[in-house]
Amino acid sequence: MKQLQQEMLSEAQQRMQTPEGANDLRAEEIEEVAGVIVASVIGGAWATMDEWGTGSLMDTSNPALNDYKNSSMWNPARHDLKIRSRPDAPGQINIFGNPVNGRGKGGVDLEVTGVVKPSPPSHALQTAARWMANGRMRSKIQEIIQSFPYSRFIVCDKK
Amino acid sequence: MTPLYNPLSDLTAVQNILISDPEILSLLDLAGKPKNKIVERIIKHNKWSDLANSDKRLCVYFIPSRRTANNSVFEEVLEIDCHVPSSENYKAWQVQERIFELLHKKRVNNRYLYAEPPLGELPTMAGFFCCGSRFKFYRII
Repeated sequence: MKQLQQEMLSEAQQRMQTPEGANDLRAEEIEEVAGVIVASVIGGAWATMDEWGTGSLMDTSNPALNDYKNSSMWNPARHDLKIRSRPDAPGQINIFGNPVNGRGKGGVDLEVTGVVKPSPPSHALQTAARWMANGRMRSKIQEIIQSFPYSRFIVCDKK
Repeated sequence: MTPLYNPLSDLTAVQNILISDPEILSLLDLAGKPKNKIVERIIKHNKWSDLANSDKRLCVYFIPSRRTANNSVFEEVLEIDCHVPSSENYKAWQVQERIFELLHKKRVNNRYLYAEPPLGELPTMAGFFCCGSRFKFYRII
């Protein structure tokens, strides 16, 4: 299980398009939850932006996008998906949870001005997980069953 | 004697097979193009975030190697992704069909390649289509 988790982490890191996204991924402790063994690979804001894309190129099918838009992290002057400047208003935080502020009314299209470039979604985690589910887990389990030392767990009784 | 750990020559060998195939070159609109232009479109790494207009691209690259029960053997997996404009998505599948014919159970750089189950569509730029294939082989070190 640890090896499969490491394979998925390594592949997801390779598929990330930014070094920040790749460095933001990590493997969680393997745990048993309600009789199911769970091995997780998780990431933070950098990994999320890499996975789902940014600005006008982001994938809007992200199930957490609406929560993000309704949070205090979303730029209030950002009326569409384009990356825009923030207004001068107190109480704003960025996607990393740090306090942030802008100038004037904000809302300047920073993609058009060339200050920042939007990025397409890598879907690195989803693709790595799909490859793992596409026969890799099964073959690994078969390999384990074939090489499992059953003889160590069989007791012969002469009665 | 062939070096045991030679991933670059594995990539180059596969790239050479692909750029030598007239059918693949035709499907990628590369027939008759100079070699330096061809190797810009059949590349040895995974990069697609700069695709634009009617670009078609084949990316040949390794995914992370896998451990085996024998520490002297790595399981290597080569992935080949074909990116084409969405309107020509059928060409990506035709390219993959041809790649399968060229590589599956074939000896490349002194190792036999075996196709892995394909995954279907893969992520690419908006307006483009991508499908990929994987080929596995074992590297004794």
